[in-house]
Amino acid sequence: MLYLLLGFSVVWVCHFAYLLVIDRQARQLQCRLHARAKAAPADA
Amino acid sequence: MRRLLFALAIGLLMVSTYLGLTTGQIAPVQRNILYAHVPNAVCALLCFVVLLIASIGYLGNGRQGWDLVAIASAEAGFVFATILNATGMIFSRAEWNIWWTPSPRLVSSAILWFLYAVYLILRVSLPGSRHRNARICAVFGIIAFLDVPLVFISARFLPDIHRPNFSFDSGWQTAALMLGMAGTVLLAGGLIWLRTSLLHSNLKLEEELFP
Amino acid sequence: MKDFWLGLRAIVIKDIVVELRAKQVLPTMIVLGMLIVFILRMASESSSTSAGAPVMGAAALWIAFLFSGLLAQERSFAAEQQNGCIDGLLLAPLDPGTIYLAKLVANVVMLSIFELIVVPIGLISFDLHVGGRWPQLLAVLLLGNLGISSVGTLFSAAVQLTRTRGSLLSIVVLVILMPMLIPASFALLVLFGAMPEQVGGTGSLAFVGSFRAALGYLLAFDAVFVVACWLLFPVVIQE
Repeated sequence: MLYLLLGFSVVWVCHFAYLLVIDRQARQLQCRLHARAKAAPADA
Repeated sequence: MRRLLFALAIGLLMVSTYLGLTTGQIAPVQRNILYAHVPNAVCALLCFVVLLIASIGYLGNGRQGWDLVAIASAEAGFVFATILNATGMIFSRAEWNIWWTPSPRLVSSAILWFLYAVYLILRVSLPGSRHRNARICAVFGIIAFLDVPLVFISARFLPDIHRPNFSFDSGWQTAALMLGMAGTVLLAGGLIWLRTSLLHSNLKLEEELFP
Repeated sequence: MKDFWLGLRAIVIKDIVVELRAKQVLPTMIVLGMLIVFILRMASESSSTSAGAPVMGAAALWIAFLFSGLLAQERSFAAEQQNGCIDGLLLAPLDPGTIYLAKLVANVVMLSIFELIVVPIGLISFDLHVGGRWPQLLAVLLLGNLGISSVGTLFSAAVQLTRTRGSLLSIVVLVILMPMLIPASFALLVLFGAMPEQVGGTGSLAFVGSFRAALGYLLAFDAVFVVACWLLFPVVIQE
């Protein structure tokens, strides 16, 4: 039973870890878009 | 649209996990890890096929889009290969009391993981222009794929310590496996899609800043 | 067609002559191979019984081939970096595939010279006897040689022309050669007497099954990878 829990938690942890990585990059991208919009509001 | 895809994928996976942990039991109960193991194995291979297609596409076409899909599928495939090996080791520990043994299937899964790992390292550490980097990684993707059929073939045709003979006793078990499969494949597609569009936006932003 | 052979021969002879004059890489390879054999021999001191020795011996030989092979392959394109020799090669009226085949032949020759010296040293250190099976041993060594060199030549062009560290080349070549090492180890183990010719049951070595199957796998592996690397080489070498 313990192994079962271990197995499934590995699956979820790995998936969420990758989703977190993607999320951090999305935030970074959003930050840069923000900065770009503020720096040159005439563009965009 | 993408949010819907992700919600669906994660929902399916949650249902499958719930079933795996409770009702859909193959005796002995540890075998329920297979509900997580098998779909991830399928997705790890699937992502490699996507990587191959993207590599060939990039070499043939030269368009940046193929390259971005290659990066995305390599990252997603790496996650799936990690889960494949981890659940495989947990399963074999629960079932046969050993963490690992050099049987064809396990060795092939390890090779798959290494191929993904080296692809990602190549991506990050090759200096030179982006185009050259992409081209060399595409070459690596194609050559590496020649190693992959081993995984698939050994899973199907060989007598191995790996494959336990189990049959589905109740509908819940089939449901758990099918839901898990569907959920994982949708998750793979969603991850690749999401990552590709992130990379795409990043790229367009950089091109604007440094034309 | 005649151009092909002329070009091939020219580059092969150039590489070999340069190496023989510089005497740089070949001695390094040989010393590295001997060191690897020595270290593994010392590490397996406790299992120096006749049962353990063939296993360690086979392992030592393959590790030595792999790492020294990497040295040879790094050399094959590192030298072209200086003075822009690579541009000279590319401007010559040669198919880039010919360049690959020529470098491949040169690397195979280097590794063969290495094998001629280090394999007897390995056999002596681990007290292995091949008996009458010299032809099979040579066949296995040659096939392994070809496999290592084919992948290594392609990726050394990919990695080397941008002046990266050699460790990048090592991980790339090693990971692609991983599936080849199973039948290769099987073949050497059979030759050194550690295993019977046919093996049943489960496990990776049983998957290979028999010595002839191992040779078949090595041959198939070499054929596939030489052709694939030859076809993909032009992509890698253009800037």
